[in-house]
Amino acid sequence: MNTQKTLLVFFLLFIFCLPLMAQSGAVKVIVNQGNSVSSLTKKEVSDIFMKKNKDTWQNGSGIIPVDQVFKSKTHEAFCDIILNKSGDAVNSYWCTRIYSGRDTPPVRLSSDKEVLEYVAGNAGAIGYISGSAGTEGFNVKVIQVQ
Amino acid sequence: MNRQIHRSAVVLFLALILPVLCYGQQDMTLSNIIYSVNRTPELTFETARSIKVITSEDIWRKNARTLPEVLMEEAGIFVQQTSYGSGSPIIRGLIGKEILIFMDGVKVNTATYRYGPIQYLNTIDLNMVERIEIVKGVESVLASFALGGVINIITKKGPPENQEKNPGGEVFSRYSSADKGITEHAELYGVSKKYRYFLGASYRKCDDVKGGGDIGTQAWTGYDEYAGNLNLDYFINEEKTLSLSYYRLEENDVPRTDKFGSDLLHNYEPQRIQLGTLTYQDQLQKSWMEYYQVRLSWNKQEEGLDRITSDKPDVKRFYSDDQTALGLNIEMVSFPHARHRFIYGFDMFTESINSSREDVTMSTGASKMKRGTWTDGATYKVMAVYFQDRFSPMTWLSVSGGLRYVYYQIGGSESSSLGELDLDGSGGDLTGSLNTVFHVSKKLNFIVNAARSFRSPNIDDVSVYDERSDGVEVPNPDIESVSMFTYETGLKYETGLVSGSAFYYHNSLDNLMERSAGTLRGLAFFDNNDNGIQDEGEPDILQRQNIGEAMIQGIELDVKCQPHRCLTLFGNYTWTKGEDKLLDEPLSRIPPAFGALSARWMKPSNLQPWMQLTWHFAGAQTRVSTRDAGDNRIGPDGTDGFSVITLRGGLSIARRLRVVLGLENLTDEAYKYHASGVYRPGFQVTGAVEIRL
Repeated sequence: MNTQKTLLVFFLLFIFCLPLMAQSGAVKVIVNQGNSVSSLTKKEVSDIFMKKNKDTWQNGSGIIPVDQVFKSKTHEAFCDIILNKSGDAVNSYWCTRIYSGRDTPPVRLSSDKEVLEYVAGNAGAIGYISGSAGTEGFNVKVIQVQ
Repeated sequence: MNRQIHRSAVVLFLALILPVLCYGQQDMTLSNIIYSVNRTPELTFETARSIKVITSEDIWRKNARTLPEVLMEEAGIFVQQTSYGSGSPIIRGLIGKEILIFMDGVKVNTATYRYGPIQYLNTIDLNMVERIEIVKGVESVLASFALGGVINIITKKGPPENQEKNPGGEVFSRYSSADKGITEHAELYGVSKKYRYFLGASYRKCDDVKGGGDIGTQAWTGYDEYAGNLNLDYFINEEKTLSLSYYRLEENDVPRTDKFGSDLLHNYEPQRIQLGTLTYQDQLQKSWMEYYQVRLSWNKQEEGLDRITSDKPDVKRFYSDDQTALGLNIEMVSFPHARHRFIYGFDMFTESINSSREDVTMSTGASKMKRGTWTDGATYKVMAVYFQDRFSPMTWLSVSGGLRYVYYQIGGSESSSLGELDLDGSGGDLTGSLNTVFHVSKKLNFIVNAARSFRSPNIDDVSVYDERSDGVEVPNPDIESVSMFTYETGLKYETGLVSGSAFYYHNSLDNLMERSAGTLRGLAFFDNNDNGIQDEGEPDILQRQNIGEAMIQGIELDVKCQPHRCLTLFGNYTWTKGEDKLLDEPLSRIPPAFGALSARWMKPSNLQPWMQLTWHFAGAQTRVSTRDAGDNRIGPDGTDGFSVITLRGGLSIARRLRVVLGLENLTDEAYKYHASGVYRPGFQVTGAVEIRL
């Protein structure tokens, strides 16, 4: 019985302790320079990255979303600001989709530079980089997200 | 010899672990995802538990005959075999009903799972299996009564990951020389935007198996089985899925090998299982409800036993038992805050048992109905509510804590040769766990866990009647739950080149249910003639009682390393020690130290040729309990160690044809797993071919 009480106290302590808020910084959403799109709504970006009924651009070409690695600051910020979810929730979403055979997540790259190179090299690609990262020298453009 | 084996294993193990400083990151692929720890899919590296995921590729490369055999050579899992048609995994020193078997998240265990080793893992057809997830240790919050661990078998649902043809199908054929065993399997599958389906059927047959060395062909080992399964997923929309599945397997004339010599006949006929589920899933993606699932399940298991004992060669006993369980699970996942994930839900199972026995005198044809193994018409109900929060108070710390309250109710009564028996009883208890993961780096996690769990008595514990060589076991309706407190600590690392885990655990068990001297109607013997005196031939009374207290501790190491793009080295090592504190002797059926080391060469080319050399070993187990010493599967001297080398290889042609060949037990070693009643096959050639249509 004492063991149960101890477990209960530990559990309640952890439940009610206030966790630190997620660090959220600005992110830029980028597409290939040749893409005619200049702005998207948050919902459209979210649907693209969650692969929900949004898989072609206006000209009919395929959309290729490219993500950043799980738990990176840029990924956390993108999930928080654009997807309105925590990184854990997005990760859980994709684990469930993979596990149930419904879908697979976008390609995940490990740095802004890799994302810039990927989007520059793929006409249909869309990705995101940290707010402080520059795009000079890459065949990409930043789009407005409303 | 044993010391040399273990020293070599540890040295090789350390050699594999040292390159841990090379970094990479865990991909999000099916092979790196586990469902069974928290009943929601998550990355294996992120979980706080000692786990093993056996993928479809692993299953293909092993080319094993049965599901229990696939678990051999894996870290922390020791597979005891009473018969060639059985396989009872020992995880963390616990066996049988202490290990919870799931099929697609639905409990396979029934309330009549017996004391000690059981054969039911072998009632799941290996050819239907997509992957196997094993969680070692207490699964306290999200499952009831799993003290040793959980084995969740995930069945095939649709086309394989790399299958291009849709709809498509496969035919599979396997042969093994030591038992002249054949397996034939065919499957059809397809997927579209609205549905996914899978339909499979298997037939498996083996003759008596030839052991290694001087063992020769072992009597009472051959049997046959057939199985089928169906899965339908209807994708209502992007978020909602409705799934229906049905599974059935039947084995015929499966002999209990260890009874050869003491019985004239001891065959399970039939051994049948049917499992059906209807599941509704919704990925709502709202902060208050990310995901929920409602699942209905139906689990029917039937077991017949035909038995003739040596002392009554003219009497054939027909035991007939069946259990039907209906289950409901409602489960929800929420992310109420960026750092919290709640998993909570409700479980309910209600089970009914039919049990009978008919003795037929073969010379006269006269038959007599007798009391079956369990109380006929007994019922067993379990209800549970649970809640778990996984949260990260700091970036370097993740914690998951949970509670589960379980209420159980046993019903039934009888008036038989055992007298008036009333099983009615109920109880409830709380299980809880606290798991902490310290993220030392992105590649290295340090884990500390504590959990308290229990297993309530089942129908077998309270109502079994068993005529044994050492006495007659009679029911004890007053028996209570066994409880266990466990703590474990471990490391997990995951890099591009090296991955692995190392865990130490310590279990303290109280109120253990032990079979010991008991009474029936106030007498310590079975008074056949009601004269109040123990006459010759009147056996002692045995009863299950809460008299045990035990400690189990152990180490589990598991590592994988890829020093070259064509070469993968992997291995594992497990050490277990169990003490019966009441009797001050070793705990029964504790496995010896065991492990495996493998080197796999695989060339990334069109044919994808591969070759794998595996050394599988176990030390001798001479620490035996009093009960072990009297068990004909063990004996006072325990079990010898073994060292077995196997070479397997294969290739693939145009993704349409796959072949695997194996030279198993190259040195023809005569060996068996500790506490087993059958020797493993001697040197044999195995082969399988799979054609995609």
